[in-house]
Amino acid sequence: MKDVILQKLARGAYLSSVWLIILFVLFPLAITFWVAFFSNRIMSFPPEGYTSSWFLQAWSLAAFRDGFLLSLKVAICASLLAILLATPAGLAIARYRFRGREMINTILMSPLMIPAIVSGSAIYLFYIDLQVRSNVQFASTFYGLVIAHTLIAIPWVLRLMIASLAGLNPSIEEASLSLGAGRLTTFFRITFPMIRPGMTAGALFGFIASFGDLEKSLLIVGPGRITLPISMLNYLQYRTDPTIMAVATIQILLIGCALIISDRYVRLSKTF
Amino acid sequence: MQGDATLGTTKRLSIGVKGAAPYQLAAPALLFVLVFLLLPLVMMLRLSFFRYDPAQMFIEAFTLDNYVKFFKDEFYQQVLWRTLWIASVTTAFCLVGGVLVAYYIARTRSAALRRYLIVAIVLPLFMGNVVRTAGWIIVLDNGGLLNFLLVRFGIVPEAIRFLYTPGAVIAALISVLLPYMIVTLNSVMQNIDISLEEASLNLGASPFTTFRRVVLPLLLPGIFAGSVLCFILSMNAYATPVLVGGPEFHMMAPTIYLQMSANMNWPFGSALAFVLIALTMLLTIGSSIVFNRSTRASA
Amino acid sequence: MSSVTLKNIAKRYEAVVAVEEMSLEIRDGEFLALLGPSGCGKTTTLRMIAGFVEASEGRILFGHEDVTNLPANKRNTGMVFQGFALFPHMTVAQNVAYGLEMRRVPKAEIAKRVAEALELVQLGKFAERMPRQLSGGQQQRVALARALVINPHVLLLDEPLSALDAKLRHEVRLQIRQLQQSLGLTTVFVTHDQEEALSLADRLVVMNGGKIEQIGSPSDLYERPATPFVADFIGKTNFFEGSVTGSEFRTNFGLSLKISPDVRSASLLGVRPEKIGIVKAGEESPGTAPEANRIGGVVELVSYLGPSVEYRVRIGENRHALVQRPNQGIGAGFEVGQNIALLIPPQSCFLFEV
Repeated sequence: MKDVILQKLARGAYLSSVWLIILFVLFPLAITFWVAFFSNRIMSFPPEGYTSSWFLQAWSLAAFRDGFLLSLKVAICASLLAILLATPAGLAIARYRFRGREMINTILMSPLMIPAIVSGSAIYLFYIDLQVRSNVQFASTFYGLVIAHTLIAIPWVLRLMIASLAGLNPSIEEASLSLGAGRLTTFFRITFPMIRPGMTAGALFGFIASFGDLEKSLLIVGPGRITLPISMLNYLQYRTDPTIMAVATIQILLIGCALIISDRYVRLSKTF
Repeated sequence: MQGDATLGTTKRLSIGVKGAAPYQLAAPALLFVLVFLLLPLVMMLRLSFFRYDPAQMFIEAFTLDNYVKFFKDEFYQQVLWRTLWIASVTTAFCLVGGVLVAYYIARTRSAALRRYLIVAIVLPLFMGNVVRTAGWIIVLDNGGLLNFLLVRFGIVPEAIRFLYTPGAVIAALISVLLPYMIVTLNSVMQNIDISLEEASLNLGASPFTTFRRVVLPLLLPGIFAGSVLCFILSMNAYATPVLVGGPEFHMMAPTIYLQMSANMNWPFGSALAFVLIALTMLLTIGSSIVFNRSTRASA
Repeated sequence: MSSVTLKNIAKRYEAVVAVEEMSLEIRDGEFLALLGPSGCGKTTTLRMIAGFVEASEGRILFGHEDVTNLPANKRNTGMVFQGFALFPHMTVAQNVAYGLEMRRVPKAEIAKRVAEALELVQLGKFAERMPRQLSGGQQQRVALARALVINPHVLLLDEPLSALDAKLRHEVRLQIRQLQQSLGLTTVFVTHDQEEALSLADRLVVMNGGKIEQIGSPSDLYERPATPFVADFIGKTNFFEGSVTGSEFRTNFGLSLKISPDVRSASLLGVRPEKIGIVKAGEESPGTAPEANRIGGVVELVSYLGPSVEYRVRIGENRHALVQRPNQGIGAGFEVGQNIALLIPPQSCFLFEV
């Protein structure tokens, strides 16, 4: 009898720890959201009231506004470029068996594995070197930033492309060919519509990864330009107030929407 | 996230394999990554052997001074050591917490709840480390939630400084990295048949003994992979130590940035960067060797 | 006394009733089969006995002991799972020893009992192998040894043969039955395969939609099915709808069949294919079946099954009957298109009121 009670107590402890841990992961986001609506001028508890004025205030601050817009533009360009580059690569890797397949896959995934600050520094130095040799400006330019962010996006697009291609039945394409369609036709009319969801989800994930990046942009962004994560970091190093929480909330909402949209194309819970 | 792309086997190849086709398809992406990432890394490696010059930025040379400086200077030894022990502690906590949550999620009877939980755990991963750490500042600040509650309920007379301590960095890192561990463990956990646990219970083992003797041994690959992942990510962390550890809390990644930007000591910064990447590579490759050897042994 | 008694057991999940209130008494040493289609509640019932599913109401007793509130690991049942559930990271011997370790049996004795159990299932030489090195049939025997070595109060088998291929299934089920009889172990066996259940069990419980349709010995259930479901699920049955008038059953497509006099009303008549005789149309009914009902028909399909031959006979507009006759040798059967007469003895008819 005693054992049974002990078993039940242990189970209770286990369940409560699990939920506490889950909350531990989630509450920083929740609390950011909450504080963004506080009417207290400086960050303190308890909340004196609630207001949404900080969101407008955030928009009026150049650093945040410019940062948001730049992050947005860069992320869109980077994800589009990543799609152009990674889709054919994904097709190659998922469909063909060829020498060097594993290696090429690893190389294309490497941006994920190399510490961001390391790759950010390397790219920065590379740009400087190119500038010195060719007089073409790369660092502190929009395109330099896009290139660096494309590197972040490529692994995501590739990964999702391969995953969605792996799930495709090759006999559908074989059926198209046996019915007389050429390879290009088969690609555009059969394969492409089937991989579109994977592509879309990949683009969205690439967008999200690019938008949230900090370390790669730190050195490359240059004077006069700023991305949203960098502007937030700079601000937070010196003060915490509802304004910055509003900015953070905006990022959470934006990325949340992107994730919800991509969930319609590729079930998130299945990818993980 | 770690690029753990299991390619799997292509059961049937696509049609018309002209030998060059896959290479042509992969070439643009490959070239892009080679030119804009791998080439710069190689160049940075070379730069780490140059000599630093305050006027010229660097002088072409071949010297190990930068690396020697890193390993001999007590300050940088401290930085490396601090990075390693923070990563270890964080990983240990992530492991314990991750195993509990992953087990719970994998064994939840409601498939809907399982889906929601996985999404809830995965979502924060995309929000950006700055945003996720910002929440911790709200909690740990002197005027923040934790101090407010402690003072309000009379547990302490006045606010305790939580921010800018190693504890704060570890706590925030755990919260940021747990999802990686949970996801890794969960995917392994799903493949452990529940009837194995039922068989163990049926034979008289308590739930805890069942976990210890049946689940844990089978979970080992996931524990291994998840720990390596968490360790590497905490080693490379930038935003979290900067925000919650403060300017005096030196870990590898912020130190590298300082050398590159404020100090403009590119050779030295490059050397530091390479120490960090070498550690990362060592762990990744080392762990896959150890793992492959152990799986081959038991086969 | 290792009987198992289920008293007013039921299991409900929110809106779904998995097992409706039922009571069952499994006798000491009996081999009881729970038989039914998937979703009928047989596995749920087994798992309630094992303790993996908590009964919504009712009590479960092992002998005189009420185990309803005991957790699964305290019930001392021996369960063999559908997928065998052998611990992949332990050797065969370690697998079998596991239950004994949990009971804190001393090491020397464990070794002895494990060796004995493995000998019992003829796997003595496989003690140090890993489960993945064994064939399906061997894995099954290890699972059995593992469950038996702990001297459980009752042996629970959850569709243990479904993961094996057909030929193996036949062999293994005989081995299981032999073992069970020699050990005298009370056993509950869940299956959807009626042939398995009929050949192995002392008694069968046929379940459908959470309810018990009938409990009885194999011959009880086969010769005297209580419901149309049982008649159809076990073996094959031809069904005809209609009604009783006087001492006859009139089908709703016009046939009249004499039936047992003690039946007052029925709306469904059933007769098994092998109980129906066939003679050439015009031929006399053989002496052994004088009062058999005689129905004309035409052979539509002949299926040669080896030991028997199955005929599909058209007896009316879109009405057919399945008849099974023993194989009398080449040339002794009937052909497609042949006019024949079916002989249906009244005492072979099942009558149901639905």
